[in-house]
Amino acid sequence: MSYEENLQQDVERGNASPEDKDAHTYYRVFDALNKAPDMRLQSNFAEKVIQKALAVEQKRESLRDFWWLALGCLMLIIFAIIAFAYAAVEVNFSALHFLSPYKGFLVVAVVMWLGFNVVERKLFQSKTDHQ
Amino acid sequence: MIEERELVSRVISGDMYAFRLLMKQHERLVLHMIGRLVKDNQEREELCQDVFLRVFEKLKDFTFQAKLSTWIATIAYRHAINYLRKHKMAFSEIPDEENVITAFVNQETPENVLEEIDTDEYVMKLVEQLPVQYKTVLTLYHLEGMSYPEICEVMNMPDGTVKSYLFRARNLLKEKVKRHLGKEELL
Repeated sequence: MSYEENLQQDVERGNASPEDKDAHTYYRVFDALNKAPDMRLQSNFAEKVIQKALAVEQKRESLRDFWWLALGCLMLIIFAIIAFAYAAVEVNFSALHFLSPYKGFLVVAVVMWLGFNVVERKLFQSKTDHQ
Repeated sequence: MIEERELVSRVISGDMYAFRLLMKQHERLVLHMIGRLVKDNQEREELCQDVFLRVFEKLKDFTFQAKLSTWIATIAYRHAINYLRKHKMAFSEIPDEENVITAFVNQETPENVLEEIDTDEYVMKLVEQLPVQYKTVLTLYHLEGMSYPEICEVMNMPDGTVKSYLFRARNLLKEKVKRHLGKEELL
């Protein structure tokens, strides 16, 4: 350890003689460094941060909702395509035979209803989770 | 007094009163760190706000492996460094030791500064001229009373580097103040 390093340590511990010019200077430097600077934050600082935090949180939530909705729509489209493909299959409607010309429409309606239910449940759940 | 773990879990669960308390407890630390590196009042205030916003967002990732204050100081330091980089202010990853020493020691102190002010103020003016890493080490060690391992964690630097920055920064200040005091005695 060098002379200067030793001196800094001694000054920190209060063991160096203030008569020594270097030690005296270090004492003054350390005194100045230990004093808190005169800086202040505005009185409504915390309030501003909280407002920003809440705004960020809200934005993130609406973004999450948007993605769930987009995912729901995508699923609907996929299911609708599948439904149309399956609609070509002959189904025996027996007593409800008058519905047979609309079977494709019925399949799409049921799939849409299920899809909306899933999306709504997801959205509803995420909203109640944050309340 | 709320225990640190409880405070953190309350903030994570969205308790804004707890978050306000957390800010109150650490605003001095953040202000000192940012304040030493950014002079403009408005910019400083906004940076401090951003630091606490980041703390709020990232608190769920805090693992209690370090003290909360060390973790917050790390965020503040990175934030300040990013700000300096973004605004192309005097910042280099590693301070150019030779240039710093030459510029610092040979630089003439303006007369108005010499005539003025007491030593405390003079030291603060000198600190402003030091590289970012030196200023940060001085702030964390002297003002916040952090230990070497804590400073290493905040600045992501090895123990030897932190110790050497602290030693050199104090040595440079001492040399300059010694000259200043010598001139004062002559007057």
